[in-house]
Amino acid sequence: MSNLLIIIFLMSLFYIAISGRLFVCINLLILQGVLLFGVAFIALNEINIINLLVVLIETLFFKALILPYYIKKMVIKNKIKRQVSPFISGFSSLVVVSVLIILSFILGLYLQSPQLQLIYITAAFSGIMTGLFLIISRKDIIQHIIGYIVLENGIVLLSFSLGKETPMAVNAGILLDILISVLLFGLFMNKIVKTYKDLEIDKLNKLSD
Amino acid sequence: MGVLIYFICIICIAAMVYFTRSKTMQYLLTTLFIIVQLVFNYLLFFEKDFFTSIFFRPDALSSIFITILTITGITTLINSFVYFSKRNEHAIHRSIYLSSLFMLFACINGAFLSDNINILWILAEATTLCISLLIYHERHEESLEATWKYFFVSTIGLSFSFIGILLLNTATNVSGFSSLTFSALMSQQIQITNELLFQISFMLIVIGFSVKMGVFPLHTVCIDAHSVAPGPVSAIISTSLMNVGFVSVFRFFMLFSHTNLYIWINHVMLIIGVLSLLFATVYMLKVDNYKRLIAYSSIEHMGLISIGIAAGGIAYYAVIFHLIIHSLTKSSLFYQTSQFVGIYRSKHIDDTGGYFNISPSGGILVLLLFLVIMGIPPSGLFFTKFMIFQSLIASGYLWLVVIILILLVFILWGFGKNILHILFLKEPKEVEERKPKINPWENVPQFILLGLALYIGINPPDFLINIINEAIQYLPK
Repeated sequence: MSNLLIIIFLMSLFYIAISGRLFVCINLLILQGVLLFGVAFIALNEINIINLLVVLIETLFFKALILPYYIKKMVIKNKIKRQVSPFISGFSSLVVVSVLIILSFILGLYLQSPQLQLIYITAAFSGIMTGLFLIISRKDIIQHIIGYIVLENGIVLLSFSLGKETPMAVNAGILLDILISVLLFGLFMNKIVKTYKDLEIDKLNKLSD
Repeated sequence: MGVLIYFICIICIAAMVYFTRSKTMQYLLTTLFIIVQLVFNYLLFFEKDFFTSIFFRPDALSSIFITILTITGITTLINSFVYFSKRNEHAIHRSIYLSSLFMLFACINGAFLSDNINILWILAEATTLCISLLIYHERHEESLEATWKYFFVSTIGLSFSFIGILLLNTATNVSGFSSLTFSALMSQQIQITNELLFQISFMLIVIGFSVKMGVFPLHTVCIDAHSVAPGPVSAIISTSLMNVGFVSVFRFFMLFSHTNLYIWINHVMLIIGVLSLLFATVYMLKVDNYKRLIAYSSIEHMGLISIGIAAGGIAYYAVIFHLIIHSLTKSSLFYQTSQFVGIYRSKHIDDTGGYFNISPSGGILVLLLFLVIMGIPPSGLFFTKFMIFQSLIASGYLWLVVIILILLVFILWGFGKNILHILFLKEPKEVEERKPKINPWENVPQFILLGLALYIGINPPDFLINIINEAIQYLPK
């Protein structure tokens, strides 16, 4: 069952890399949040109320609800154009993401161990590398934030795959850090839109030697 | 328990300073913060058990760097108020500045103390959040750009180190996250089962923390942050925040130093160090902004420190000693840059000159700081560099020492040319007409730091030598 969810996660990576519309990307983030919840729910050995709560907050509430809602609000508030502007075409993106997934698979073959299953490593590293690819290949700052969240999803998948219990304090700290990061991203993004009247990263070129 | 109480105190003070707009209250709360920090630092030395818990454990390394943070922190706060007095700004901006500065200090202290690897990561990420608000303080276009770059790249970089930590967790076979502590891993001696896994993990961790430490490959955002941040904030980025990066990398280095990857990690540190030194040299020769110039000098020193870690032996001692003196002097130099900004109203070296005439005491201070930072005797940095080179030669890297010395000569030229330009060249016409005045009392905290650095460098007290030796005792001789 969890294999099926992970395969859907990988497919969502392809879709996010080629989609030309911003809201599709954001909806895919919601989908990924739900998928991560499914993976974590199945991986839970015993239904413990605290574990369940942490997983619920971390995936469904946080990744599938708050973040996408916040990004959508920012897009509407700042009247950001809904078209994605990549440096490279959709077809090339597809090729790149495929290559990244194959690379993750090869890496997974070397790294796999009883604690770390191949399919988890492949999916996690594909998520991480696709996130980086989105950041590199897009001009808009909002796309960079989406890339960062995809990268975070990959990391969360990796941490689930370890299947070890995390103390509440540590988990809460990690969650809080990521939440505040994204909120601050939004804050500074608002400022950038106000200052430059645009979101393209090419405008940020004053500082150099 | 102790750390929790400390954190609650600081959060309360930061919250109060955020909501108050009156200057008197800000002074009072800052004094309160300094008292809390001093008490915390005192207890750290004499009541160690009070701070020991499952997440935190004070040791010699953390005691050294927390003491440096307390000293530079007090001077930073004094200089922040000097900086405020020269600017006309909204009370709310000042409140945000002070409360993020207090939280930053708390997070840095926590990061030094943390024994649990995940807590270290959380606090390192929290320092990024606080420092980006401070970098943005002047609120112009360039500060927005630098803040965005620093914040984004640091967050991504630290995500990398989190992946590294997760892989380390898998590789070490500990029973859960809560036991992923430095002390537990050190006592049980890591068994390398899958070499590639450990190598990837170490690489990712070092790349991630290089944002904080200011070494190759992610040092560039640090430079951008320096060029727009207020002087006192630059001082913190260049000293305490770099120390956080150093302590994190050094702790991971200690973990790996007793495994059969020891030679490999030494090579990684050596390559990182030499590349940082190379980048610093190239840019110091062409840079035209004095804050960026001093920032590149910090990159140079951190590069030397990476090389020192790789060299091993006596260099471990030299590295920590180097960081202590570097923190004291580099922060003073950054405090002086806010005077430069006030006088010349520009950050370009070409618009400067005649600082010695405008402020003789400040001129002497900058000249002495330049000599100490460049490691010209009797500066303590001369001895530490000497020890690092000695240890490099002992491990058979004579050719590398020659290359490093050539690079250092170029750095001396690039740095010296520009600093002497600021000090001795004729001042620009516009400045001459304006006749800016500098109050000599503003230089007192910097003179105290300089005096301390000189004293420690020439005649290191016994307890300092002992505590440094205690900090490095775990490393192979």
